[in-house]
Amino acid sequence: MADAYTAQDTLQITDFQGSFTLSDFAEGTVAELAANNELATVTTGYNGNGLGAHNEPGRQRVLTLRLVKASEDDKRLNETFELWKKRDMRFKPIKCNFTKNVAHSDGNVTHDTIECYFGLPTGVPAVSTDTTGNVEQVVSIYTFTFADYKRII
Amino acid sequence: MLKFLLKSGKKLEIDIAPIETGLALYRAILIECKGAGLDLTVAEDDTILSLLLKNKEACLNVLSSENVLEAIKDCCAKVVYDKQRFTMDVFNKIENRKDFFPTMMLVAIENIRPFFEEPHIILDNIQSQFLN
Repeated sequence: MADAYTAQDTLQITDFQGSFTLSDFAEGTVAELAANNELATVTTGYNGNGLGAHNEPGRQRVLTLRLVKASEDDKRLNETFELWKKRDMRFKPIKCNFTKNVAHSDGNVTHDTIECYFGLPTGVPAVSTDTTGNVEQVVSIYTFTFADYKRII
Repeated sequence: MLKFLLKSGKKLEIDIAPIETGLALYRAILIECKGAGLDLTVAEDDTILSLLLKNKEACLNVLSSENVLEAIKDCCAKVVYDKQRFTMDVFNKIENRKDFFPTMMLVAIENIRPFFEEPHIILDNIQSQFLN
């Protein structure tokens, strides 16, 4: 299960330098927030008894970001990535704030925001060279895993 | 990121544009002021209003300029108004239109401000007219 975002949505990240709004997007789905773990484990016992337990890792979200290679946003996220890799004390786990605006027939707009906390870089942006016109070679794909999230509507 | 609360109660978030974009805006404003007889001398009894009136021709040139408007729009790539990324469509809604000029003015001021040393008394005074 994942939330997908396009360049029309408002994507903001807070890193060790403060907040910034992403704008250097690649094509199509530019950000995806996946929930890879279930929030609860449920089973059925004898006589149909319900057995359930919280699964705390179910709070985690995995963000995949597709940015234009060497853009301003790519450079900024690369700084965070490098700080983490080098165990630099200036590193701060990132926070993301992604908003989708949902328009209603009466003209009102609802902001559907997902805030994710304590994000660490878990994937390495791949570098590739391709002579057959593969545009993926000019896209930097970042993967961050967040410990917790909150949806605000 | 700079955060402002507009008089309408809507939140405006501004990221400063890259230097080339900010410089293009500054130059677009200068081009419009050129030849308009800009008078930036400040007397003891001058107010912001009297300064603006003294330079009303330059002000009108800047406000009516298509090039300045386009240069400000170029600085809006990372501007978020009421949790929505800046597009002209956002201001198509009648109730948002009153925030269009304040938004443009704040984006322009914040992108020009870094080119100059503190204090920015005039810029701060103009800016305060649009904030809650």
